[in-house]
Amino acid sequence: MKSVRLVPLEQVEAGMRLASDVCDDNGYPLLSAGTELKDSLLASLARRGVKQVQVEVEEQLTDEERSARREAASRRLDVLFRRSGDSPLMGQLRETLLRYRLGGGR
Amino acid sequence: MSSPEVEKMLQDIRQLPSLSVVVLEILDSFKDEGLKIPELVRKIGRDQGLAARVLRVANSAFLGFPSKVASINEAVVVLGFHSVRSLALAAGVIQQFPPGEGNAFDRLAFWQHAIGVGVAARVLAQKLGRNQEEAFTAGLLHDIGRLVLDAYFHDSFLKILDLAAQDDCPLATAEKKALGMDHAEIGYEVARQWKFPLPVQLAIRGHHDPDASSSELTDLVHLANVLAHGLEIGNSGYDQVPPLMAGAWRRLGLDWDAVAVCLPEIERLNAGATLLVAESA
Repeated sequence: MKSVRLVPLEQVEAGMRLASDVCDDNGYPLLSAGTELKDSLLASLARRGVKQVQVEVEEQLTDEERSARREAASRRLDVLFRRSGDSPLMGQLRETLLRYRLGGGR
Repeated sequence: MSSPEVEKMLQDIRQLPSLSVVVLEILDSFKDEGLKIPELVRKIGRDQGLAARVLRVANSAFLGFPSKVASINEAVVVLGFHSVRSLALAAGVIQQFPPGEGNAFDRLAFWQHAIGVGVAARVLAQKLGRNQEEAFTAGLLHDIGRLVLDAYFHDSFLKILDLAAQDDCPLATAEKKALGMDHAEIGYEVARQWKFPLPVQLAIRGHHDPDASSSELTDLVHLANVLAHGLEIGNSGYDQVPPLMAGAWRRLGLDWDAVAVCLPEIERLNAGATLLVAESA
C-alpha cells in the first residue's frame, strides 16, 4: 500500500519518489511530482532552501497496523461529524472521507 | 431582522472603511469587462506586496501551468487576465486583513480555510464546467463576515467565540444568538457595501443554507466549504463538518465517486494557493 508522507529533507533517501511538486519559497517550481530523487537532486533542493518534501512511501502494514490506522481515522471523523446526526448524506460524505484518508491522501 | 441590535449592526456595516483602491478597481472590472485592462494590470504590477503574492501562486502548480513568470504582465500573457485578477483580488483582501493580526481568532488558519474553500470551489467548478475564477473568488470570500466581525466588532466576536466553546455549537449559532445575525448575513451586507459581484454576494449569504435561495454558485461554495472542513484545511473557528444540504447536493448532480476524485486534486492545488498567505510577502 502506497501512502504519502511529509519528510524533512535530511531524512529523504535517494530512490524515493516525490508525491507532490516542490517549489521554492517564491513559488518557483523546482521538481514535479513523480520525480525519483537522486543524491544530486537532494543536494540541489537543500541549496534552494527546501526543508521538507512529500514523498511516496511503500508500506507493508500488518493487519493490526491497518486496523489501528482505520480506527484513528474513524475516531477523528467522529469528532468532525459529532453533530451530524444520522443524515444519510452526511454518512456518505463521512465514508468518502474515510476511504480517502485511508488511501494515503494524508 | 429588525431588533435594535441588528439595526445598529447594519448601520455600523455601512460605516466600514472601504477596500483599497486597487481592490475596488479590480471589483469594478468585473462589471466592465474589456475596459481599462492594461491599466489595471499596470496598477496591480505597481503594488509590490500584491504583485509578489500573485506571482508566488502563479508560479506554483496552482493554475496547472507552472512556468516561471517574473512580472504581472507576463502572468497575464501566460495565464490570462481572469486568473490573475482572481488572485489579485484574493491578495488584496488578504492585505486588508493580514494574517498576523488578531489573537483569540487565528487569522492565518482562517485564511488557510478560506483559500481551501476557494480551491475546492475551483476544482468542483472545473468538474462541472462552470466558471472557475468566479468559484475561487466566492469560495475565498465566503466567510468574509467572520473576518469583519474579528476586525471591526472584536469585543462582540470574543464573546461569540466563548459562547461557541461553552455550548460546543457551530460559531454561526453563537453569532445568531449574540448578534441576531450570523456571519453569512453579515458577510452579505458587507459584500453589498463593497460591491462584490452579485453572484458572489449571494453565495456568501447562502453558503450554509443554499436551499433557502439557491444559485449555482451558492450550491458550489456550500459543498466546497463542507469538503474543506472534511479535509481539515485551515480552520474557520470550529472543528465540525457543517451539514451538507440535500437540495444543493441534488442540484449539483455530482456523485460520491466524482467527489472522491476531487479530494486529492483539492489538496494538491491548495499547496500552491496557500502561498497567498505565506509569510515572506
